Amino acid sequence: MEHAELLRVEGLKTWFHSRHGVAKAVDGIDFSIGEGEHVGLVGESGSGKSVTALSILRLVRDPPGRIVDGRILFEGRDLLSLSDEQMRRIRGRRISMVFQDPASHLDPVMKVGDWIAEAVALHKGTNRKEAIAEAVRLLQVLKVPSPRDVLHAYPFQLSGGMCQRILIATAIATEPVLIIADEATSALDVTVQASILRTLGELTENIGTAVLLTTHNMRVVRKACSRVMVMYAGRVVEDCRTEHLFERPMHPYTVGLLNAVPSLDRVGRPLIPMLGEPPLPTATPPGCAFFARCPIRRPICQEKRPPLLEVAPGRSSACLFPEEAGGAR
Amino acid sequence: MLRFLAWRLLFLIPVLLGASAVVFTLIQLAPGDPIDVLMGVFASPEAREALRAKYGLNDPAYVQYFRWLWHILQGDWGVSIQQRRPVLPLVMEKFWITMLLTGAAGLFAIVVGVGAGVIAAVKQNSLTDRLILLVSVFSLSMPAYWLGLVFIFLFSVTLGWLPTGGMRSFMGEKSNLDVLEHMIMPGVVAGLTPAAIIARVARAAMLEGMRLDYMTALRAKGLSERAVILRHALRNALPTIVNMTGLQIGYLILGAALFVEIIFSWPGLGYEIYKSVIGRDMPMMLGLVLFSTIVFVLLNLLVDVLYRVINPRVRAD
Amino acid sequence: MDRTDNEPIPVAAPTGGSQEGGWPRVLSGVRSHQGIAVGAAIVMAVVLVALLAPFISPYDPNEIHPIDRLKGIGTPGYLLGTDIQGRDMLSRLAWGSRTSLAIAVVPLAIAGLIGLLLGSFGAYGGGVSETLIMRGMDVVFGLPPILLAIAVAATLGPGLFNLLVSLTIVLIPPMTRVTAQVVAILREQTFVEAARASGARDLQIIFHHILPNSVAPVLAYATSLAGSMVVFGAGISFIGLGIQPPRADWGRMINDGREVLDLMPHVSTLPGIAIVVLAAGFNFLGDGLRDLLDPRMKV
Repeated sequence: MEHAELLRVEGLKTWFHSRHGVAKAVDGIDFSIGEGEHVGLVGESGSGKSVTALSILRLVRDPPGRIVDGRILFEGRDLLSLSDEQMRRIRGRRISMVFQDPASHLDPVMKVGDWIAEAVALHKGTNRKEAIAEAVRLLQVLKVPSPRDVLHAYPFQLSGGMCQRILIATAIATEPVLIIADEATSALDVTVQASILRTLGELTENIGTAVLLTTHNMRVVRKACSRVMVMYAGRVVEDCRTEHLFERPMHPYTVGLLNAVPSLDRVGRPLIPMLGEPPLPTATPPGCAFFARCPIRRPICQEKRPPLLEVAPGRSSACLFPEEAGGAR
Repeated sequence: MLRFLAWRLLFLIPVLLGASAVVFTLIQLAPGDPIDVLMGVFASPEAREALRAKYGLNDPAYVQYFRWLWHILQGDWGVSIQQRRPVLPLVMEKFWITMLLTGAAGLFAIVVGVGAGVIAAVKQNSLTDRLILLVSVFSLSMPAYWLGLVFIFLFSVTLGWLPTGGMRSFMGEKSNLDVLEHMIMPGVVAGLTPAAIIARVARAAMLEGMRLDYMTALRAKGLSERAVILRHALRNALPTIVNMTGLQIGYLILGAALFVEIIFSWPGLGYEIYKSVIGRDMPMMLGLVLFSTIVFVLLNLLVDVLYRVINPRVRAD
Repeated sequence: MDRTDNEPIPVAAPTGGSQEGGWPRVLSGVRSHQGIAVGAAIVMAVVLVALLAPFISPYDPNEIHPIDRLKGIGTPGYLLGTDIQGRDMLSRLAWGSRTSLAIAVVPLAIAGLIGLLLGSFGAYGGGVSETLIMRGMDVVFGLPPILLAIAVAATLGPGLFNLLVSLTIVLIPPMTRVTAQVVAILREQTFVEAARASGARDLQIIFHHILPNSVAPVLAYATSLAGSMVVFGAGISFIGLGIQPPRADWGRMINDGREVLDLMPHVSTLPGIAIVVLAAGFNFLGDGLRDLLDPRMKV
């Protein structure tokens, strides 16, 4: 790998306890992110990608959610072993987060300028006036027209795209080493999506920040990420460079995903919806979680959950028959 | 905002007219013929009729109403039968005394209510939360006039810590400290029910806000839990809390405090209403009711305006 | 509108995308059931006492025992002691439950019925009729409710009937307002739209869809007010309006005991406890019902 390792997640399990039983939203996920690397985490809704994102910052609400096992190594320290206060100092300073549905992730009764300034003042120890000046500068970097007017607005007075720019400005204000963008563009129009992705890409490139982008949208990954991890039922099932994934997927679930979305290099071929439903997070089978929907399944797949293994240089798959996976494509 | 204020002020007119009409109707319905009061029961029918005509008592009700209203507007609120003094200055005097008690009770209610509500919300579903909820239900169910008696029995009669009632000691000190000492028990007793209601509203409003997505965003920014709760969650719950608090203080000045004033002989509006009810002093009682209504309506206006000022979402509409 | 209203829809089983599981809702459900059970048990117990008053009471509640004045709790023959005139406290408390229950239930029932009709007709039409009825309520009842009740009670004169009338008058505006709020939610519901689309007349819709569906939430709201009515109704009697002696009433009894508070605190304390218990019962019941039935309640 060309990047020095920044974040390494090992065997992370985040479970939700409810009356209906234990929902294993994240169930033993392994992955790593290098410094300045842009990585996509793809999966259907419910696959556990948002919970993974929140788990890294220890922001899963407890109750009902709880990180029950695993390690999250960041800059050499296990985040799960830090005190609340130590963790708080990493949030927003070393690792920032950008959210889906930006408008609802801003304080509805706070002017957005104060929202940005709050983070700046907190992490840089500046006074309010300096912090506001910094906020203006950030919005200028983000190419927001008339930033001073925007800063005096409340979130409900701004568009979704503008709110997302505010969140991004807040996230980069402290020049963190990692930004977690959780479905950051999903709630936006396609045109706005593209511009937000471009902005985020450029900015993080400039300051050398790594990005973990969770999304259900294959096209977003293709546009914004150099590496992609495919998530299914709480685990990563495939992990490789983005172009390799699109050329030759090595997990039948990835194949299903690619077949189900329209793309330019598949023009003229029918879309094939994936059959079946993912297993309920409260009742994951003992074997491969994709078994019930898999076109290449064999009896052995039911025995135990296949681990994520390196199947070719620089790429891993959690399928016992990775070479056959692409066959269905 | 100005438009809203103008509308709201305009709307005061029908409200006050309506309320005064209700008070006027009550005067009309009140037992006893005013002529009897003026002339005695034994006056001749002719003399009675002459006096009726003189005072316009034969005019249609609405004429009498507007004549009465005209007097009210000029500050002529009638004369108290018991005290033989004009009603309006008496009422004004009592009003400030009640405001003093309301201030104490309101302060208690806000501090305890908001505090308990925030704690209950932060520790949702914990033992503390349930305990606060339980105490609030019992506080709501507690008659102030009874709790006042229990307090007097405990703290005055048995322990001798606090005076049993009144506003000042009969002898000696005339300091403000003395008044303060007299204010503690009635303030707490009068503030308990509003505190319970404010606590419930504050808890609900906090929980509503704490469920929202931006709470996660705040924590992701690295804010401490304290800042998240106090600077953001409470700030968001504030409009709702202010609204309910204003309403509760309105009820307090003009109702709940009545029982407390009676129990603790606090010489304010409520105690005066009680005395006028007991003494069948209708002009005094209705004057008190009318005045209280005006205060109530104005207070509601104030709360509405305040709600707008602190809630940018409504302000923008 | 508030953006904060756009809360994510909670799902039964938490999934990756949603942090909000079914957990808090489940708990609050449990709590409202508990509240309903406790509240209902208390209220039923008081109803039972009221019904069985003639059998529970060792004496006539107004029977004076001049020799046995101010007996303490546990005196042989007087389980809960006697008051200043030597009347048996237990008997008076048992009979007093009847007036307290009447005060809690009758005005709310009548005002609820009136409010249900006014509110549903007013709000169903929306627009002008709604504004007219609601603003009308605001205008006429700009008076603080407690004072209005006392003023009406003072004007009409003492007595149980007049007390019930004055409480009913005070309760009409809040009941109307609540009905209107519930109906405003109902009239936007798809089943009402469907009825309208299939050609039902407005009157039919009001009687077949709007009214039956508003009854439960309005009833829940009424129950939550019943506790305050117990406290407040007894308060009116306490200050000398409302129930008149010698009829047994908890508010009156508290007042009766004031003079002997330092000697025999039980005379005031027992009826106070009775009020607290009954009011708390109604409050528990009302809170629970509102959590379950009132669409306006979200937390």
